[in-house]
Amino acid sequence: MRGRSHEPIWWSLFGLGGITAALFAPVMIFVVGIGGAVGWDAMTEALAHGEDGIGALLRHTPVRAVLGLILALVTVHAAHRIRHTLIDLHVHAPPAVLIVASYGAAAVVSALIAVVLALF
Amino acid sequence: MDGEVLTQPVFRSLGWTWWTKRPSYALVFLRETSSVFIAVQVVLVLVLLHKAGQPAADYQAYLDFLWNPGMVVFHVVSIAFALLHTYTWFNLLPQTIAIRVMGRRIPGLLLVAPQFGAWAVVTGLIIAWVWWVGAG
Amino acid sequence: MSTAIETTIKFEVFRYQPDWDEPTYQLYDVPYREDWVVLDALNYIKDTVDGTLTYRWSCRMGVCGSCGAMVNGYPKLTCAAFLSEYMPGPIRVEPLVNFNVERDLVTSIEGFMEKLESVQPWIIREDGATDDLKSEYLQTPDQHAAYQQFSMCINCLLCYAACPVSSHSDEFIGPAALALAQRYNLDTRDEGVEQRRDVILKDEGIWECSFVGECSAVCPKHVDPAGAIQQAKMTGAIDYYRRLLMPWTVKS
Repeated sequence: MRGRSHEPIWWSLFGLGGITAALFAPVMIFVVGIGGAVGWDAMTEALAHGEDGIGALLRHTPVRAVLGLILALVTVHAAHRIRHTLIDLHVHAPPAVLIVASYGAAAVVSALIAVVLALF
Repeated sequence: MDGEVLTQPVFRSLGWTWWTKRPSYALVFLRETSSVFIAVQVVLVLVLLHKAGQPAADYQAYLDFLWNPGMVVFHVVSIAFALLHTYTWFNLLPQTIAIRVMGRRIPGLLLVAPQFGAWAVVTGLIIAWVWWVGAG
Repeated sequence: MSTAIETTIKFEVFRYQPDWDEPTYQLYDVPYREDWVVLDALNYIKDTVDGTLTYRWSCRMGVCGSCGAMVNGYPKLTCAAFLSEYMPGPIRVEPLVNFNVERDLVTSIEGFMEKLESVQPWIIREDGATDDLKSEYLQTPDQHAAYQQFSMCINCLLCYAACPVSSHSDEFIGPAALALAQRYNLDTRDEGVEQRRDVILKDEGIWECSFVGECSAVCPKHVDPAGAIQQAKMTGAIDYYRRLLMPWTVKS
């Protein structure tokens, strides 16, 4: 491979995560942070504690698996973008440091998401 | 004089403040900044999922935090950034994918419009599903 | 023209000579003419006010690509920047950013020439036949159309002056050279994809690009280098995974 870049790994994950965020981020923020907060009763009920609320939303394993995948991809997309934005803001850090910091943080968040959803 | 050239070039960079220099740059910078807000929202959801497995009082305390007026303002700002991400992401696809049919690039709208259609369907279905669970 | 008082427009021109410590801005009053472009004003200054002003130009019709400069902070061909768009002024003219300035508005293009050469922007044949052409290489209009847009580049380098990545990376191959690489990679007569691969697919090739897209916005020839680079990323990513997952399909 003679010094070839491994950036395609990050770029393709960024592509998948970017389209995922484009499709799901606005509605996720609305459901979690706005719908219930502004007094839409059904939204408040859906996020209530217990089996009739958030427990019902996440009862089925495929739902939790898809949610976990969505959140992980969105996280990697954000890490990639933040890394490249820092570079474009002339942050002078060794490339390897930025890669470990950004995708490492994304990996930690993704692992926590997987654990929390698996234990749900 | 002969051969001795006094050349000391100066390098002038666009600089790290490039995003302040034109509206088009600023829009790109906001597009990139959307990732920070989206990342924070993912972490908020992660904590929510964690708290959902805790006693009801702990969970309710987190919901109260998540839904206090200051945080709602933050969510509204976040959703604006998320929508900017959606809008710019869909619109940049035709530059990334050049599909040629009968020797012509297919019009960008044919690549962009289905994405907005899919977005509307996904958003509608998820809100309907959550509403159905909450109301039912 | 009547004898009425002439409208003038103020110019602030970046000045730098190699034996100066610091660059400076020099002010000139230039008569306003509706049909003048910034290049006409520079020629007026040089011919009638200050013969020491140095800048490149040749065709004055948007073909040669040599008269690029920052006009009020925006990379433009000075031969295509009408004074009327900037009235009442002032107009600040500076050398293209992200390049070394040799003298006044003249930048050094050596770095770019090296990058351009590194992508081998010419038709490569595996049998070396272009050295000794004996036959034509036929191409249909559709095949020509596939790369035609990327072949319109006049190497004016406005795209480099617009690029935040070029502002921090000397090594980044950059918009124009990558668009030309893509132009030849898409040409059905060319067989040089393999030879260009190592230059294009390294970090300093396409992967440093963060798709700001301003290169395409400032391009006077509508080349869309940003699009060329994204398309090369798509091809490059597919190529990467093919080598990783199906190495036996890759000829070496």
